[in-house]
Amino acid sequence: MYRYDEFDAKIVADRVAQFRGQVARRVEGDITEDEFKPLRLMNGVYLQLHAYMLRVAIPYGTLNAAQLRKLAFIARTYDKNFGHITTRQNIQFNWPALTDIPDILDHLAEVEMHAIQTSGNCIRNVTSDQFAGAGADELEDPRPWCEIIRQWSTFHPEFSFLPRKFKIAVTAAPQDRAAVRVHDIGLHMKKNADGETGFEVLVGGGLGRTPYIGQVIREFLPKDQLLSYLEAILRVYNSLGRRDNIYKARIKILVNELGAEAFRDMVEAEWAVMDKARIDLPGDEIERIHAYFAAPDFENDPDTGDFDSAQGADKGFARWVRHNVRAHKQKGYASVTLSLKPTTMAPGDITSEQMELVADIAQTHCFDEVRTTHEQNLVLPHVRKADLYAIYQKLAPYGLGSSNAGLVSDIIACPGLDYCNLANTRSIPLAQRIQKRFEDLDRQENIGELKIKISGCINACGHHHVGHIGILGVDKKGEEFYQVTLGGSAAEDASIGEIVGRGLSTDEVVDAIESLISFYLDRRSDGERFVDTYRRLGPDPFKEALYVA
Amino acid sequence: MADKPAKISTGGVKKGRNEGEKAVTANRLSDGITVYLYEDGSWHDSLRGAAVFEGDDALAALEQATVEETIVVGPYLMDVVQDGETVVPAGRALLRETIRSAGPTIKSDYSRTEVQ
Ligand code: SF4
Repeated sequence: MYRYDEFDAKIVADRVAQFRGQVARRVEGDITEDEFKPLRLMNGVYLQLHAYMLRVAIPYGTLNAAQLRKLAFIARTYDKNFGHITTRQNIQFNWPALTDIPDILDHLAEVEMHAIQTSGNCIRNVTSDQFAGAGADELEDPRPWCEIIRQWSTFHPEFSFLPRKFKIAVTAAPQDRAAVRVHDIGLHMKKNADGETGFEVLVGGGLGRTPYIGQVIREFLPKDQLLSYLEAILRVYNSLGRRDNIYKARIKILVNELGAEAFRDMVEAEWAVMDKARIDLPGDEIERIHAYFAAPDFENDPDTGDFDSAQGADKGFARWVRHNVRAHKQKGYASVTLSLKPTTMAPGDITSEQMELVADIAQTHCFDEVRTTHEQNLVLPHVRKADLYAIYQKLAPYGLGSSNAGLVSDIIACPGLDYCNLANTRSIPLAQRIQKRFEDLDRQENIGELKIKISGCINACGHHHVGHIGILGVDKKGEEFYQVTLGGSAAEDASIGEIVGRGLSTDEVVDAIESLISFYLDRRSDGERFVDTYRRLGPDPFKEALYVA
Repeated sequence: MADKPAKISTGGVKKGRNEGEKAVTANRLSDGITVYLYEDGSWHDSLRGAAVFEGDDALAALEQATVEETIVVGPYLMDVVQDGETVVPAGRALLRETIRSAGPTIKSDYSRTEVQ
């Protein structure tokens, strides 16, 4: 994992000291709210319905135990004993006092964390595959490239005031777990005909009120030219992206108005005249960053202990293994998804005690590594199979043993009207009602992979456009209504869900979801997921099923 | 013919008109907690005893609140009704304002007990 050097440490410490001064001046009345707001946003501080919210960056979702313990401490000391994992793999605290935030940032800096560029019109936290460095299917670990992008984009003077926020995701496996097709820039590592690894470059994907799937503007970019090519894209966007209309300011609008080909030509023209050597990293620097992500000291083919026998003896464990445990590139190891979707908590919420438990397990059993996922769960990336049963038994008493990864109750939900100042409707209580309705694990397992994603307004933080079933909250004369979309996907088969008819009332919506799922169960062919059946049959029969409920 | 009531912000991104009974609400600068303006000009975290205004009085109260920048952030007029001695949220933003005054609906530990 990357460790700060003296420059990182200094810029973060300087930034905290600067923000401490800004908060003091705001409280004293020396600067106005209009002056202060952009400053607090640059430091990840929002004002929500009933408190401030602090968004802390977790670069490409990688954490160590000390960082997780520090987040637990912050949640306990300055918040209501929990944090919330976001769809950008970050963590949010929902209740910090403004006057405590400089101290919180000091605590974060002690463990090499900060909240810089988690808000505002700049390049945000780079996201990645939660199984990076572990997945049996990846070409290579994408995180060194994420780190290279992080360093390049942090305080980049040219890109600190973009037309709008900017999000980059990187993945290196054929199965896209980082949603690269719905990012401003998606980088998908692939091999070319000569067997070299490079990046397929997609631009102009995004959700929000105008969703688009990203388009490929370069089939293959050599790895060592990544930064200059990104810089060329950002330059074109920075000069041509609209600043007059917030709803048209994202790069997706520019790419779709110009057409992907014209956009590509502009990028290539910019790139051709650039002094690439000034921007691209020299080989030894690329190697230096890669060294931070060297594979852990795996044992060679370790004994799997009671892994097989425990599955025979404990059905709950066997189920957890089926859904939450994945193949690892190293024999004798596995990656584990720790579900943050029990029915008793808001999706993505994690208490201080849970964070501390996961930190302990990571330190003892997982080479001190934890990941956050864009689906609002945690991952232990490298666990010996022999340790899995013992870990499983530790998780259940803390509410972290849910065997539902990828199933109907593994719902993405934005904070919605319970916290968010922009919301039309609540998201979390609806997620909880759906989870309750499908509580029976046999039933969930029978339904199979089904991604439900809920947003409380058109800003789409809950990624509803790319849910197999997407749910968007709409306000109808002060009443909560929910618009259903079907057939979306954020994976390698990315698609934007189609709206299927009128919004449903709070009372109708859970029954309607159940009818859709029953219809799918009746009509599916062998091995078909919900989204496959939807794609085969088309929207009409599903629409009928939705409205007979 | 009388002009239409003035257009006002009603919190978040929503807009409305200055019609009916209003309270002035905002977030406290120091900790962001939802607060309400009382008759004596002080701010409290319970809606129950908030001052109720109508028409130009509401606009004047809002204007006064807007200058109290070292105490509150983002004041606006919310719809209320008086229920006996108590002021409660009303109107189109009823749910939003109920959540602002009582806390999130998802976990009782986050509720604000003084406004049940
Ligand atoms: S989707 Fe809307 S309601 Fe949900 S968190 Fe984003 S802005 Fe708030």
